[in-house]
Amino acid sequence: MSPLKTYLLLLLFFFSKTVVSQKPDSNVVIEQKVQTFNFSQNKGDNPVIITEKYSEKYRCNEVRTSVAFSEMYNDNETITDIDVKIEDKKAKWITPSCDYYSIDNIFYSDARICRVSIPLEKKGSRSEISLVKTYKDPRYFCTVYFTESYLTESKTVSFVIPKWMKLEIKEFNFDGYTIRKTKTFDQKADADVLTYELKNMPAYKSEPYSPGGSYSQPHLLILCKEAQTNNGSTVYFNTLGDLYKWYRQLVLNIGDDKSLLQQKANEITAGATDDIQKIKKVFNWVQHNIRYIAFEDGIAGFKPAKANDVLNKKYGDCKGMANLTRGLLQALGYDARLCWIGTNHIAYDYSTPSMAVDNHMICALLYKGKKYFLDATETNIGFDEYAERIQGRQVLIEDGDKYILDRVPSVTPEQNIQLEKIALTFDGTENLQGTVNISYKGESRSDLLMRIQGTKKDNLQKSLSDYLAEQNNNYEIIDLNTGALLGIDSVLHIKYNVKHKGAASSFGKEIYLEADYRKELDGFTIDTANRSLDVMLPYKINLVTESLISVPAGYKIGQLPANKEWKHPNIYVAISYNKKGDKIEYKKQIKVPDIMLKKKSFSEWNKLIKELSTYYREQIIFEKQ
Amino acid sequence: MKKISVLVYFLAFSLMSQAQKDKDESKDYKKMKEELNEKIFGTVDPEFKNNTIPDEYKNESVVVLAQKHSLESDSRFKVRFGFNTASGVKYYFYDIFRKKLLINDQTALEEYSQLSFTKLQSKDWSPVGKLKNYTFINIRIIKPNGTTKSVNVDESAVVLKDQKDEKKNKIAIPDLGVGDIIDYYVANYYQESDDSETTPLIYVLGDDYPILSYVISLQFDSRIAVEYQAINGAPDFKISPDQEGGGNVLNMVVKNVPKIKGLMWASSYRQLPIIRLNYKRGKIIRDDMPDIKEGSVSKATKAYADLTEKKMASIMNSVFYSGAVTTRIYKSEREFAKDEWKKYIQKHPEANKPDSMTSFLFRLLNWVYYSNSYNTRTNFDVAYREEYMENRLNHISKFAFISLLEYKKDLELLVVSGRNSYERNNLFSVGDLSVLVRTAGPNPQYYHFGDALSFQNSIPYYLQGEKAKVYPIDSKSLLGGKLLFIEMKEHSIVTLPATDSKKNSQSETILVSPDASDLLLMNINRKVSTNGNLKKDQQASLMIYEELASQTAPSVGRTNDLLAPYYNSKSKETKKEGDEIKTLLEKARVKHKEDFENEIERVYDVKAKELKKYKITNFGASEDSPFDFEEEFVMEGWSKRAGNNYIVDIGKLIASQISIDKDQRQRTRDVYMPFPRSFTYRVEFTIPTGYSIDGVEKLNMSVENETGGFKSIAKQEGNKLIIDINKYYLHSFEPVAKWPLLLSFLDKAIEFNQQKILLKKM
Repeated sequence: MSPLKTYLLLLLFFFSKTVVSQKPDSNVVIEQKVQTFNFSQNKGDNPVIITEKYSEKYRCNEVRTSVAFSEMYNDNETITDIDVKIEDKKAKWITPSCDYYSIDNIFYSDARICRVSIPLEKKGSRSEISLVKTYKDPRYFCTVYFTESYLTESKTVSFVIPKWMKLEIKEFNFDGYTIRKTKTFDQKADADVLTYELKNMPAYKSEPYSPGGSYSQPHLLILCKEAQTNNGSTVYFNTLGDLYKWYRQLVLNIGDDKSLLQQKANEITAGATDDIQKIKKVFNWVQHNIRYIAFEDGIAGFKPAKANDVLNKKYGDCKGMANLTRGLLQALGYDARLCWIGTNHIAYDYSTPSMAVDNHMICALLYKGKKYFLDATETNIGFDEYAERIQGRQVLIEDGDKYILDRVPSVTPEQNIQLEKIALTFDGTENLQGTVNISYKGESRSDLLMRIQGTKKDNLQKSLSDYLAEQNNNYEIIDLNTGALLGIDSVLHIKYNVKHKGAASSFGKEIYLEADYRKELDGFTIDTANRSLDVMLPYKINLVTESLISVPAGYKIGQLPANKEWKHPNIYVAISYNKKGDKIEYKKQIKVPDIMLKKKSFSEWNKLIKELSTYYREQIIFEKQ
Repeated sequence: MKKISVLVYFLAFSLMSQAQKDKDESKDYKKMKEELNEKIFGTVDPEFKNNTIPDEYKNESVVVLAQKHSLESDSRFKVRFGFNTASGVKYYFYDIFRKKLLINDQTALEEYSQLSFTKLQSKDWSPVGKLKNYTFINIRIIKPNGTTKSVNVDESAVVLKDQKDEKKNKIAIPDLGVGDIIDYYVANYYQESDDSETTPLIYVLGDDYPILSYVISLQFDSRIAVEYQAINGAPDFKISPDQEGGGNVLNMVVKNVPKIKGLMWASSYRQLPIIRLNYKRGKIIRDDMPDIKEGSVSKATKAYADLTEKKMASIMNSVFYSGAVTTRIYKSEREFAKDEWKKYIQKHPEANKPDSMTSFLFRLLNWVYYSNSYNTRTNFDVAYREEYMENRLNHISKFAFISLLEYKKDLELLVVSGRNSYERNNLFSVGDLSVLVRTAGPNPQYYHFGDALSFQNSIPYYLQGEKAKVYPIDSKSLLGGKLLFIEMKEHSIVTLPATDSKKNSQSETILVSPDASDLLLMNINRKVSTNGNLKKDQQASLMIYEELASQTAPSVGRTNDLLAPYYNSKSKETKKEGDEIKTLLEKARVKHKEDFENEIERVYDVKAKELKKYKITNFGASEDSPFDFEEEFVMEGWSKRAGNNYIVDIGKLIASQISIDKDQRQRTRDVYMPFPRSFTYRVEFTIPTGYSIDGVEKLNMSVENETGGFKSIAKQEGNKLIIDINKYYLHSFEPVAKWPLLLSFLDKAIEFNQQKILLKKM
């Protein structure tokens, strides 16, 4: 299958399939999990370490099986003392296998995984695993999630926080769960003991198009602020300023070769005189000449690679690309800065200073009093256009020893307009022919270009035709013209002629025609019975279709479907049919101004989509004169 | 990015216990690496000189300028590299794959910009010490301006796996862009002890991308014997003596190998140029043919068909022998089968005929193996399970021993190269062959031990009509018992019976009535009956394990209660296990509905709005009985409002038809289909009260020719529209000249698919 087709399937899923999810398996439950986190003082570079100990007891409810247990660790975390017990007896022969963990789309990460297959020998039997995990640096100890892969009947999570450790724990998404919190004081340890007791926590299941776990799963955000240890005071992230300070020291001495950047920037912008033109050229060059390859490697996961390394290698991660963009723009004399940002995958903002707040780096350009945010990892987004994932997100902009806290602009669906203009005439009584012009802007353009770039050259015309024809051999595309695909123009135009066989049906003296060929969102209902999470659509949609259909010779308009409009917090649809001389003007607009479709809106959404699907199939009737 | 220390190689050598040894060997590794670099990148290879592509390939994603596989076996390597001189390690191989290609678009850049490889993999211990296996990789880039840049693999690589015996690395190739040429090689140096394994090599001349120069260069020293074949238009090797003397160099340079496009209804085994080669340390022994001596190369002749079939028969002989000696000549199995037959004919006296004994035995063995062998790990969601060749031969052995020794029924072994494999004339390896048995005598019964849904006297579709070598199975006395063996000399060739399009049929009755309360919904009752070769796929996708068991048990005089053996046991533990089986059976029944929902989606390309009922009405658990099922479901979207009227997509009721893409319509290769087949549909559409229909005449269409046809006849009878449709393919193979004839009726079926009728308000 060609890549374009693969993407198309994804798109079809998006536009025409019911959003479903799987029911959790009831065969295995976690009967009990006891988890403690203990802060203690340490010598050397890491004055405070956190020791996590837990034991997890599984019970087999129905049929013997085995549990594929895994626990992740990395350069900042170690795992020791893994023990498995079967029916309370130590199973020494079961040993974990620990290895590098490869994650899709990440070229290299320091993530490692320990895997253990834990047998549950028969119905009703119990097996238990226990382990110790150590976090070397409280900065990296950010969240504790409560949900597990299996239904958890009872779980206790305790934090032993000595008086010398200052931290704040923020609770998220507790509504709807049975969670009891108690706080005691352990005199011996001179520590507060904070305990969360949980009952019958449902298993965590991922669902397609769902927001990140921090939006829906009950969890704690741990803000390690500072420690007054025997060796003195260590400030972690007491304030946002501390977080910035820590990030900043990582980017202070990257060691970029300024003359090389100057030379490259001049080469890229050769011929351009206008500032904006130059800036666009630089942004576009990084977008299309530096391959995005993700690295997540301990401290290196927060420190950008040298701009000249990225230039030489022609690949980099978000930090490398942001730093190169900054370097090239600074070389041209512009005020460009690095920015830390959390994409919309993350529910937090910088009001809670933590490394869990951000996951991305971009470049900000301060030009004539306006801030432009440049994210070169979005290969096809235009200048001053913003991908959904960073829109409206808080952004931490470098500003010497201080920082600027701002937001990436939120844009309206207008940024992403996809406008299809169609002119059709009848060839006989059942076939249509005509011209189609489609323009794509913003994320609709970015999305289509990504598909085009994922298609092999020799197959591009065919794949693109198939995509536009929606795999229908009766919708024949002729003279497909895409114009220049890449470049700094932010609108993509596609133009073609079409012969649509069997578009209409003629019976006796009448011709019947469905005006809408694409029927976007047809059937995109949500399986309310099985869906447990909100739906997060990829981007704000703004689809406009304008068709002019000539009345076939010798016929008159017998009937036009009535005009209709639907309004919903997430979607607006308007469809109209108007007679314009000897033509029918069909207009459709579908706008999705809010991509977060809440569970409570599902039934209204489904009602709208069902009405739309039926309405799409209403016929224009032509009668013989 | 994490900088991997130089030297992943050092990591590799940390396996060694002595530090000194590490040092010496790493030196050797480095030396080998440098020598390879000099030999491959430092020496001009005329086939790798070209940096330009012809105009016709300008629009390709990737153009392979040159690709070379070379293999060298050389006793001198040992001396040259001077390590591991342990006695017994005699064979040293260099296996080098080099490829030079133009990156011509973004997808090619993505595909080739990252490369995973095994830096070193230490082989198992052998009696002569650890056999080494080293991998070397080297990459260079040729920029559009002609400059060449070397890639520092060690600096750019990261570790993916770092275990004792396996080290995997990945490299992101720096400074690579569209328009660049990448030239890389992966060289593998390995040692072999003095065993006598045959190593096969296979080359298919055709890949995803066009190849301007495809080079194969194989050097075998004087201790190695080689046999090969070049088929389906593949060129031959140029064979010359090797430099060392006594050995051979096989060379082939093929220019302009076109890319292979995914062609429907094609056979790679029979249509693509292929070269197959076996090499062996020591001579290659061939039955009835002279040995291929060490230092010799022999090209396969037509006699290889007989030779390969005979090899399969000898394997069967060894299975007979090992089966007999490990089971006391299948003593318990024979007694079991004898008893079961006795019990069976007591209940079914009408079955007491010599001919039905083998059929009973086949059913019995299949029942034991598939329907009565289950535990808590069994996948009860499906009935289908396929067998490996080894198991098939074991089944045949057991079947033959019981049949010949207990039931006194003679059998013959049939060895066939099916349409899922090479042509008989191109046989080269026993893996090309399928086996089955039949009863000897005038009305043979065929038995194929392929899978859980193989029934007596049914021949897999890919073997039907093919030429089979028939070997009688005989017995002789051995150690007080009898041993079976193949009568190698008394063979003959037969053409296996084949089925026609009428036998391989699927017939459907589709009763449709628009929902009285909402004419946009269609209530559909669909009854399907499948026969012949079309049956198995349906059974495999719709039957669950429990159904197979319930259907096959009575045919061997058993009951079908899967829980009884557990619940009737005296052991408490076993009884408890029965509860687990019960849960699994219940879960499979719940999932069963999904099988039918998926079937509807497969057939119509859309999901049913609701599946109300589904039932298998005939399980087809014997040769001639059909597999029948029935579904009741509601479809939405096939009826559309048109003012006061409704338009109904009547053509969609017969299942979505094969649509031939533009790029498949022009065809230069013959057409290989699975088997002749036919599909008939009777659609009965109830016209809702108060409506009349328009458009019936357009539903009559017919294209019939020597390859097959599509025909539909529509009429109105009272308040019913009745359409009878027949689509059929007469052959499994059509020469390419007849492709337009196939297209003509395939297109007609698509045209029918798009037909609509109008429900007119009266």
